[in-house]
Amino acid sequence: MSNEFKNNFRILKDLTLTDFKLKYNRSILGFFWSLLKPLLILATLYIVFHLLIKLDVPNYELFLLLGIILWGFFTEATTNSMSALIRNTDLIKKTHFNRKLIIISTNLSSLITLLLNLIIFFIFILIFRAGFSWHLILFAVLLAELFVLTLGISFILSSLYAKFRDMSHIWEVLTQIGFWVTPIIYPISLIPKKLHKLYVLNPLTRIIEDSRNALIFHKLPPLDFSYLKHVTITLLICVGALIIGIWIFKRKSRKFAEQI
Amino acid sequence: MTKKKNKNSIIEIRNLSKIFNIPHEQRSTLAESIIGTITRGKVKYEQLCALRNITLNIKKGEFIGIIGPNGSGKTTLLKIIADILEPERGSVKVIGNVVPFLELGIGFIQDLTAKENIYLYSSLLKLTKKEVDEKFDRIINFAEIKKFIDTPLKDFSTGMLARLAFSIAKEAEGDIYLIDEVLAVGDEEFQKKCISVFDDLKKKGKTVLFVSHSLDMVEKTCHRVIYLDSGKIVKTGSPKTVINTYKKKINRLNQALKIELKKKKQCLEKIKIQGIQINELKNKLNKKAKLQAYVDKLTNNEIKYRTKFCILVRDKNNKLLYENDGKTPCVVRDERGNPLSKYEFFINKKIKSSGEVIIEKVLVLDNKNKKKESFRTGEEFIIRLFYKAKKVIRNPEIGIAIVNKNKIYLAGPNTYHSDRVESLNKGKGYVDYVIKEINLLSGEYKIHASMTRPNKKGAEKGYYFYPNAASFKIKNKNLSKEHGLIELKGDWVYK
Repeated sequence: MSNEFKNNFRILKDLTLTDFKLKYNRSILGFFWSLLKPLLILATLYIVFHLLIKLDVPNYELFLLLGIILWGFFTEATTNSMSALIRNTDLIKKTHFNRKLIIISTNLSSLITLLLNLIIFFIFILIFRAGFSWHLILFAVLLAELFVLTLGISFILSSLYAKFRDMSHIWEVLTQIGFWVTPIIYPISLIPKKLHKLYVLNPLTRIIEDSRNALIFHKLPPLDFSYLKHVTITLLICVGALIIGIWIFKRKSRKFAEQI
Repeated sequence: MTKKKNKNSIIEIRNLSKIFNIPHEQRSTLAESIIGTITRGKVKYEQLCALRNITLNIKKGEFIGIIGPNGSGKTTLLKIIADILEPERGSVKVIGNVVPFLELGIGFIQDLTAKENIYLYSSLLKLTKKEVDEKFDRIINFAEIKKFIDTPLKDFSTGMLARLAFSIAKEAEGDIYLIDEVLAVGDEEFQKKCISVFDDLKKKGKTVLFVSHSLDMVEKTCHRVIYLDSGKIVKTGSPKTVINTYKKKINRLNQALKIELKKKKQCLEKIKIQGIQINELKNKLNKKAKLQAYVDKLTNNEIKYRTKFCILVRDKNNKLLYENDGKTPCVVRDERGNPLSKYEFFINKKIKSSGEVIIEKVLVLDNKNKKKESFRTGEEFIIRLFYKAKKVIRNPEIGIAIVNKNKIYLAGPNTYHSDRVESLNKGKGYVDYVIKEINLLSGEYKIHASMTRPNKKGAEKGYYFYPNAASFKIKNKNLSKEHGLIELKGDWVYK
């Protein structure tokens, strides 16, 4: 058993590094793109929402950058995972190994990008003197939560995509919508209270908001009933997505070699 | 050896079936799937039964050859053993580590270099990095790709890829090796190396399933051979007997194929026709009937043999679509390769032409010069021969033969014995034969027409002979009054 685990771990490591390598294969700036991308998006959104629309949020550049980085990880990981099976047709058609490793490795490779991005973010913190605190530990927990959610959705999307190629278009639209209904460029406090109930259903709301509180504002969220309820729902959605994702993927993976 | 010691099966297959559902039009978008679900009954899946009821036991250390024609399910069987495909029914039990080498290779990533792929693939084959480090040189030497170690695989040839794949696969510490057509790729040198690898695996007591079309190799290396056809095990047993059965089957199939080909050839022979302006024919056929004509050049001998024959293509209304003087042979078929049934082909030897003049068509007309098919006894009756001459034809003999249903030659008016025609002009024109009162009785009649040179005999004589050029009917109201073949005009005189 442990032997198999060891082996799978090795495969996972190799697949992850391969995926990361291939992502920047044949580009001159290579993985610097993954650092440059969020900065360019940051610049654009900052100009529009801070200088032109004058959205009044303290530390807006940090606020915005963290949102972009976390959201960027979510979309990149899910989108890449969706097509991962198709990209690795040869592997699936000619070799036998746990297919889940392909999806997990794609997520892990996006996680590497995320961690590199976070280094930029921490440099920003230094530049804008926001400081560090013990709340960093909270952020680690939130990151784990985000990873679970992303992995779950990746499993669901990739199993559906093997048969229905529409998924890529549907997901593209959904992520576009998601960008605006998730508090990335604005804080949730700007949203009327009535709509908060809907925001509760978006697991990314809590994750991004709490990450900002922990990293930028160094404060604990208000530990009242409605907050705890929100955290619980978010957690349930994340874990639920993973369980459903693994279940679907397991069922569908038997036919992958025929479908793709 | 180990074979005798270990009686336990390493691969146990019971009643294994695999069915591929091949939709006639693959539904791979959501909308199609939704529509397809609603109209479920109408979507047709073609069920391809790749394997039917396979039961098989393979013991440890056996070297099994799998033979069979393409599409017999050999690769599918290996893929199920490798756990890449899932069986539809039945059970597959495999004990031990399986090393697959399927469809000329393994899962490579084209954008990575050979070196990177070796490491990645080795980890999929459960080799540790240390082990790969040790084996690395052996792998690249065996695959003969030392120079290209840092080249991305997409620049590799198929042969190189397969060689590399096999080199890695052979290094894996597996219990069961699935080897699909490795010999098809390499040169002789590589094949020799493969054989030495097989011997090595045999010595180590590994279990090998070896798919190949190279029967000699199978006979030499395998302990046991399985012959698959259309998903079924036809025969399994010692290499010699099974391969013999297979060879016999192939021979029978080949013979059947030969006979079929011969038939097809004969069929084509029948519709070989000649024509110079084959492009013209093509155009005409395409325009008028959307049919295609293919040119098929014959040998010179055949051209000589057929020079005197001529081909005319006429449509249903007897209109001439194409004529030729017979120098370039061709074959005319429709899109499916069938003879053109819509057209009459006069490839009959009876149609003879020297090419100087032809009878384009023959019409039967009434006294108002109108085309008519059915007449009554006693009506005026005109037979009109349309001709086309390449030059002025002097003193031709024009003849008509009228024949009834029972092929009795009833009359043969011609210009030799009466009404000599002086000459025919160059180009198109026509000649009439006018019968004031037709005296034939009810029935169906045919007209043959001919134009010949005067005072000559044999092949020299003919300008043109056109059998069954036209037909007509005589229909009288009161049939009971008719007796015999013709009405003789005469009077009964009483004395």
